Amino acid sequence: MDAFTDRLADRTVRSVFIYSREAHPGENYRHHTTMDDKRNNARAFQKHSNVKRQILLDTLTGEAHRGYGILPNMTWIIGRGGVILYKGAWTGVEDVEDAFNSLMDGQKRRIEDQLMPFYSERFSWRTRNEAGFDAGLERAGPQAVTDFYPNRKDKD
Amino acid sequence: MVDYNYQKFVMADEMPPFETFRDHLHVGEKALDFPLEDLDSGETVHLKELWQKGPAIIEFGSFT
Repeated sequence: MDAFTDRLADRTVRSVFIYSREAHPGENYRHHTTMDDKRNNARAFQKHSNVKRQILLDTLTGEAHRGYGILPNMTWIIGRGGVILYKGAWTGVEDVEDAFNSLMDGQKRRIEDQLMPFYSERFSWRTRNEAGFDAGLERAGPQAVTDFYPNRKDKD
Repeated sequence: MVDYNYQKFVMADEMPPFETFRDHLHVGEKALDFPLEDLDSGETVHLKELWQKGPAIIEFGSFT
């Protein structure tokens, strides 16, 4: 997502990462019992993933995360003024970029080309990246691996 | 709080929110505002500040 938002020419666009709860807690990155737990894990994430976007910490009890649907890696696009323009159950960067560019292009051309907005829904695709996901589990710790793959022999 | 910051990932517990997501907070509705903490500065940021001057792209997630 950082690469996409870096490409945006419009500097009025705010792109942020809201740090919620640990989706796959393990021995190295445990569940949060204090805000300092959350801050420390968020800083580790910022450094490891070289995140350039602003990182905002949700409350310890996840008010914002729960308010927006509590999914582990969702993305939302909000229009100027606060109307929801896009909701994605997962963050598929290509889908977010496609949706964002289409929405902004229509906004720009709406008068000259007599465009009218309408509501639509669709399924989309994202890269699975199983190797990257497994590496993340291993980074979190052995417990994260066994929690996700309780029958590990079946997977191998 | 115990339930929200779970100590152990359980797949069966993760599925219901995926099933209810499409019926939760719709496109076209007003986005929700919450106070958040900027990781670098420690200052409080209200989510609604993000979309005052232009659109906002908001990703939720964690390290793990």
